[in-house]
Amino acid sequence: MAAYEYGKAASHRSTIKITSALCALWCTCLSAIILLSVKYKFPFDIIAQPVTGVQIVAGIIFTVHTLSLAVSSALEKDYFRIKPKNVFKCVIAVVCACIVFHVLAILFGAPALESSRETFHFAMLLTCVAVLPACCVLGADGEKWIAVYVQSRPELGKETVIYITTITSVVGAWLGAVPIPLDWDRPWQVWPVSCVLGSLFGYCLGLLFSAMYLPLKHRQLSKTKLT
Amino acid sequence: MKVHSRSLLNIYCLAVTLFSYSLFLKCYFPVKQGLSGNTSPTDVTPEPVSGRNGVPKPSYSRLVLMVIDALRTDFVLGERNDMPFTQRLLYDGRGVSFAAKTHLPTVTLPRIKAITSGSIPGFVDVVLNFGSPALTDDNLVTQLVLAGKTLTFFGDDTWLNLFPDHFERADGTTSFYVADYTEVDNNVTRHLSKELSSEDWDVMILHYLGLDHIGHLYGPVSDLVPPKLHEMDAVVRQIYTAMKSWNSDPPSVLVICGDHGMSDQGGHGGASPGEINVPIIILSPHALFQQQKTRTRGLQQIDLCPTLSALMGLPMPKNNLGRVEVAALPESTPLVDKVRFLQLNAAQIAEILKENVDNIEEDQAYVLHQDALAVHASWMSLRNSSTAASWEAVGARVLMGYQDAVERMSHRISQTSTSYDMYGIVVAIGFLCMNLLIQSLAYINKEDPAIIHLTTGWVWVILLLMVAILSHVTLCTSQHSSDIMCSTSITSLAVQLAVFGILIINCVLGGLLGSLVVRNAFKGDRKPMTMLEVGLVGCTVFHSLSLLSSSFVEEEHQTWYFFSSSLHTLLLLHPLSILMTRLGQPRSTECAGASAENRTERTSDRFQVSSSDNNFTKIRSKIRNEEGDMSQVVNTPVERSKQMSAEECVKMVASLVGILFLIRILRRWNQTGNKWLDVPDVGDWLVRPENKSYLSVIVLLSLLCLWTTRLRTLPGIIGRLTFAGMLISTYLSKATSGALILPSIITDFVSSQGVLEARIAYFFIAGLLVCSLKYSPTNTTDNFPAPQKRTDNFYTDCIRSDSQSTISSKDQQDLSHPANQIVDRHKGLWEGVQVAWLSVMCLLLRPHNVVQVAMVSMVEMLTCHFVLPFVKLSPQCLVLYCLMMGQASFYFQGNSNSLSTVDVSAGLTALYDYQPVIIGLQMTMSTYAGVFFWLFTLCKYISVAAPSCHTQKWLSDTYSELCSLALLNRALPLAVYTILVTLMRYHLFVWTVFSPKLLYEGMLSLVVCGFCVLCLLMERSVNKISIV
Repeated sequence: MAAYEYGKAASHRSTIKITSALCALWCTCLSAIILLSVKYKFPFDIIAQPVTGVQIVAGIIFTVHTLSLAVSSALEKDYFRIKPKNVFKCVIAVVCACIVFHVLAILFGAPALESSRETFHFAMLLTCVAVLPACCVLGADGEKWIAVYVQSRPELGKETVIYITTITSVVGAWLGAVPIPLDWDRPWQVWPVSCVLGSLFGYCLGLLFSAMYLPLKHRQLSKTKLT
Repeated sequence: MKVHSRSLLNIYCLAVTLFSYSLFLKCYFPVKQGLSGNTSPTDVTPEPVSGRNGVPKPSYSRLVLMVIDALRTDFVLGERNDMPFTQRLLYDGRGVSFAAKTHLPTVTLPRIKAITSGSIPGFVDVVLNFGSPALTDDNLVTQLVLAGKTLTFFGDDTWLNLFPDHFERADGTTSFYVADYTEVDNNVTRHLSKELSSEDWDVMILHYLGLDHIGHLYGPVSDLVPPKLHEMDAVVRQIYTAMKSWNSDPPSVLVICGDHGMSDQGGHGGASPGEINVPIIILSPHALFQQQKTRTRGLQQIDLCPTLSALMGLPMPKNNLGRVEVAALPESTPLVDKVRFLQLNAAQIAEILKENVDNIEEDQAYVLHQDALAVHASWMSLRNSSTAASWEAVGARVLMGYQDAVERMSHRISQTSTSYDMYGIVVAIGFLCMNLLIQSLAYINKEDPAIIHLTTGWVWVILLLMVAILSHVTLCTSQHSSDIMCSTSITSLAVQLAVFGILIINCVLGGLLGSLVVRNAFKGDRKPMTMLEVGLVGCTVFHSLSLLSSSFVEEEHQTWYFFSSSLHTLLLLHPLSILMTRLGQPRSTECAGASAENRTERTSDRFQVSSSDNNFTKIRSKIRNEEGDMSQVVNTPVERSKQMSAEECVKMVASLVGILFLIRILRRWNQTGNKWLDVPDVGDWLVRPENKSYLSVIVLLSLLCLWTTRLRTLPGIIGRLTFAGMLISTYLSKATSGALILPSIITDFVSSQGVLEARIAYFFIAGLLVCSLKYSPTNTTDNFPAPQKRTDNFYTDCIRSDSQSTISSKDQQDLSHPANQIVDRHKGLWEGVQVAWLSVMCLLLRPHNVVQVAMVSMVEMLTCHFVLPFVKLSPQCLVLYCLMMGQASFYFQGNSNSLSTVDVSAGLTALYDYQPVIIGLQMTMSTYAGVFFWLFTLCKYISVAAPSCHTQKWLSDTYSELCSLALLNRALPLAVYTILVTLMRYHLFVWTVFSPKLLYEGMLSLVVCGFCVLCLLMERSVNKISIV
């Protein structure tokens, strides 16, 4: 967590609080949907039909993020950020990320040819939880991307959230592969269900963590500022 | 000579590891003690009511037992029609067939023991498979001899070792020349015509090995299997026809069985359905068999022994656990005799049960037996008073009752008789854990533990010794007494002495190191671990813990594949972040990425080698060249390093992606494990007979690729030619043994089995080793008398102490010369060893795995040239990295944690006859080829990474550290795994999954210990030079 020492405490306290609350809300909604789907196969069965499940979840995540982007830019009266050129760049980034995740999944041992539909949907979901939020928050600004992801210096606020969730969702997807070789013969051990669930749970945990982390860190930073 | 305290500690830990692990194995796989003596035919339980003593009349007087090695059930009894004569006979009711299940391990020696003695041999018989002592327990063959029968034997000479002096005439064929599958059977069949026409024998045993050899070489789907089965069918026809012409009174019988099956990959030893299902076929021209209306219950292979005894009218061997199969008896056998056989069977097993169970009268299985006996008695008394039909109906029930009793008792015995020597096991586990503790303490504590003050501790030592002896005596006199720990034989006494010695030394060392660690705990600050280091350590620990699950043991390869992919992906992040920073902020130098750059700057030009350079393998000299060139071209050093770095980053990314792709291809090369074993893989496709030409081309290409990529590391034209010669003779040796295509012109000049070529290849490998040993770097140091600026290295920069800085620069030069020589010599040596080992791999591994050798070599070269120079991996990390890659390569080869994947045929390379030591050595070398390769690579990386000053000290310290780290890396899984298997000793998978893994772990530890010895020797040699 040494990286956050550099995080600027520039944002207002209220902004931090709102972000944190939104994170918690979004986390609750998403995890409720996933748990419902896992436990009661309702409203969709992500274990038996991972492809449709991923399509629905990815759709929800996509809608929520685009909506929140629209709402936040409307609130901030910051329309110029959404330029066609930048949108195009972001779309390119998302597509590239999708392909990269797909290739990585195959390199990590996913079937190369057989279940490519499933693999691609997994890659799509991982992009949705790991890259898409970053696109919405950071836009097409390369320097910001570098500051957040390469130098690990996200600004306290939304950037912190996407930094944390990207890491946790990728790690979650990685850990999701661990139970696949076990001989329990459960339906969720079939590729790519466990990895999909892993990345979703990772994402939710990341949201939860950042919802708790943001106010704490902000308080700590403002204290050090006072002294 | 203070260096030696650490190496002494290493030697001690090495010895303790080996000692306690072998103690554990000895106690965990006890050699079973059966009842001694032979059953005599007169001294058996009398029949109830009638009081008839002795065994009923035999059904047959002459027996031919034909064992076909690795005969799977589906070869004869399945859909395929490869043994038409036998199948026709069965169809006509001239015989009966059973599908029997074997016990584990499915290896020849334990299976022969099972067939002849009816007992379940211990797991450790796998190891004894290669040098079988005589079978002293009661068995069928001895019973036959005691009954005055004349025996002849032709086939696998394991039988001759097991039953010396039992056979009137015998001709043994050795089972170790796997490459031959024709002669080995002809040597058996050629005796048949003479034997079948002579009347002087009663029992003939034949053991055909050809089918097993085909399985080992080409697998069960090979084109060679059907002709071999037809050949076996012809033998059956020959024997059966001869039997027909014999006198039908007394009649004769032919029994055909497989000793074990064959896995779908062709090996055996494991527990896959193909391996444990064997057919048992009983044919006789003189008897009729009852047609099996309903499927009889599952037969065990051990049931063959009592059944044969019944057929031949013999008492059951004393340790038999099998059940007489009534359906195998001819139809003419009276019901009373059938019941009598089962009664004898039950009585004999009840004897064993009495030995194993304390409270016999309350044992359920025994009660069942008593009930059956009672029903039997009442049935016998009813014999004359009831109608024949109802009497027979009751008789069938008696039969069923006995069968149930026998099965239950047998099951009960196999549950109880696996008595583990818990005292020894606990001691061994204790030592392994202590060893782990001591090694980790020694690792944490960098201070030299040379000075041992025993003056204050001696009271404690004596106290400890007394407590230990007291508890030892108490334990030995209690019910936990153990064979190895408590008896008074010489070995046992030696073991006890060693145990006390180790206990004392362990406690002293533990106390000493512990106090040192506690004292130094807060001194000095440790550098925080990088993400890579955390990953490596985490993977190692996770692997050890994953052994707790049986599926992770079965699928261990997945763990290593996953780790190696993850690790290389993690490595990918580093250059990518630098590249991103560079692209994003091309002018700025104040970003945080600069610190990362600074790290790489120093090391960047170290490995920069242009392939156009014709010089010998002196990377260092080339670097000097380039440094010179660069300084002319580029003005400021800062700019230069930045340019280099960007280019190198791209190279590193590219090579890492390449490595990831190679790993992905390699893991699909040989599908292994259990869950996805039947997924088709590249290897399966390549070894298909119709793809022979593709295989040949691809092998040739990979040999060529090996030659071109490794050329640079070879000293001089002689080395290169030797390497080329070696590769050519490898190809020839593989081609002449029939696996690869060879132009017909050459065929006339080469030997038929590829043995000579393999020997020539070995000769060339020896030549390569000599070349790399003789390789001396003096000429290069003379060529470059320029001031030595070798501040570029992996980790430590030279810290010039005050004493050194006072020395003039000229002196410094002179000092650094021998240092460079040492580094160069070590590097040259290890590169040579590496090339030689690659050659050995090519020679020993199966043809389709030669491609793998090329790929693994590529991975290593990419890592060495484009990855390691830029990531500062500490020697500790290098050890973990190389061991991980070694494990992954072990599984790439198609190995698994089941015994069936051991490549027996590799042991016979370059051999005409059976030489156990060489075979064992070659099998170890081929099985652990990948591990060895990465261990040698580790040494190379270390010698490349050596700094320019204090070289000798650094090298000797690092060699010693390599040794202790490799041992520590072994100590963790050993401690965890021994605890696990002890807790799980009644688990269902203990013989199929956990026990083979124990043997594999032991073998890997042995390999790593060998490497440690090598490291210690290198350390000594480095120190010797420093003294000179």
